[in-house]
Amino acid sequence: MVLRNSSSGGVLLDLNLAKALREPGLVASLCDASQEPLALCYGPEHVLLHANLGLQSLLGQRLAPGRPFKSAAPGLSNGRLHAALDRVFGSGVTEHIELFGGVSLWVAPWPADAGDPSGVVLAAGKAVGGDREQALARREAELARREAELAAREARLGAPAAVSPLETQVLGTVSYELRSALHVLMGYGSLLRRELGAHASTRAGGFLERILGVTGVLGQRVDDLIDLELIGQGSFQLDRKPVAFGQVLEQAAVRVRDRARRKGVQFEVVLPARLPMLLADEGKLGSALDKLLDNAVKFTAAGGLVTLRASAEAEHVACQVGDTGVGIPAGQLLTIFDAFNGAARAGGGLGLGLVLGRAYVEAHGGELCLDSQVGLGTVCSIALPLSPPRSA
Amino acid sequence: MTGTTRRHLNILVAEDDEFTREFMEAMLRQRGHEVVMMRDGRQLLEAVVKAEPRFDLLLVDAQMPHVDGMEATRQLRRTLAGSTLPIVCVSARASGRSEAEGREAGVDAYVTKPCWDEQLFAVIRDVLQARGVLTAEEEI
Repeated sequence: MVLRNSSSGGVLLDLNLAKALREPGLVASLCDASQEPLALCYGPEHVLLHANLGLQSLLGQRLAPGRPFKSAAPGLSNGRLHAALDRVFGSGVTEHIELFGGVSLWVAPWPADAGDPSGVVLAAGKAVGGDREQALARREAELARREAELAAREARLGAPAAVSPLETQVLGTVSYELRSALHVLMGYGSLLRRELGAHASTRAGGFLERILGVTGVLGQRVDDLIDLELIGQGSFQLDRKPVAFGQVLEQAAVRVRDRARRKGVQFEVVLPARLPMLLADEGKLGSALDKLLDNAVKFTAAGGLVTLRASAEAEHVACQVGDTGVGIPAGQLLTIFDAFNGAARAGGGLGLGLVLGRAYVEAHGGELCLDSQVGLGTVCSIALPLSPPRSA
Repeated sequence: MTGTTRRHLNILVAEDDEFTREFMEAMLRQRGHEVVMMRDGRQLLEAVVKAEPRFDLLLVDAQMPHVDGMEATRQLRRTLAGSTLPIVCVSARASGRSEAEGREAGVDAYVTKPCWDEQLFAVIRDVLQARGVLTAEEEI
């Protein structure tokens, strides 16, 4: 199937993501952020909650929110469309209909896993060629299979073996004390900064900013310890929202670029023009990328190369952080994912980058793998599913 | 030119850690607020009952000896003096569970240490505005 106004069937990907979101506000944010024509209708009257500009321009209609779809789109008096809305709301089964001028419209129950749908999501595209309905059915079945697989894997995940119960308890106590002390340090730093006022640009002010900078780094380390503790307890949670994956990658690249330059390591970013939206925790996803990029720069000597690449596949997005650094001996490839591992700490820090990076990726239902050769370098690959697990 | 006026608050702080208590007092006084410091939840409950005039805000630590911040909040919410008092819990206990426990006890907001005082004050401002203690034109 080829959709003229989208790449890689983006319409269906965003439709599927919209179905999985339980909050109407999140669907509205997705509609606004998506480049695909999308809308959400609520209740048996199909009251239009939100329709993005893409849909309005494709239908050539201004769609007035807050009214039943029939009166919200008076120019669209298409009996088949209204009947389809009723059927999907009643049956919970996605339908596909052809409108005028080659416009294809998908009507899907919302939210996806509700017994009785609360509403329907609409997605439109201009389709050409192929047997669209069969392709849609195949795709739906494949996505459902993938979702079930992810839900099963999430259920299996529980507390990872990387942290023992005793370590979790110790981490809890230590991180509590560290957080309290850090709070006081950061607090007095701020007080001092305000007291300095106009003298902030003196040498003393410069020293203070250094102290506050290091305090910030220490704060990040403590946050890492706390996440490790929560993961160990099995109570780590993501804050998922619709996120533009391309933007998360670009921002991570910006954050590491300067460090690579200072070390004399070349940094290359190869991203496709368009990457899909994900239902993800932007902070944790960004942190996972930061940790992998930090590691790559840390273990690569001056003159070496670090690369960040990404691609969109049928059901997942893939991203690779590659380096021409020291590489990891085969014998250490398994233990490198243990917390406080000596090899991972060789470059400084707590050695939690890979442990947490992998935990954040797996919490999203994704996978992280390492491929490394001593003396040649390492490639760390991440795959993240486009469709979120049911428990999200 | 902004039309804002600075508002000085009457704040009660309950914190068992000496270093944190000293810092909180210095930070709040530097910003021009009146502060009463308590070491545990029992002292906090007594202070609220005796307070005249009433406090504008309570900053409580979650984990304290005798009566902890959560239990003190629960008890206060059952009294006339404490039922509508703005209460912000500032704690080094960082988990979704602790935050949920705080909400269930009746705190208006749960702030995790460490944080910059600007972050803490942004939360305080929202809480006080929601409780009608502070208007949009007032700064703290």
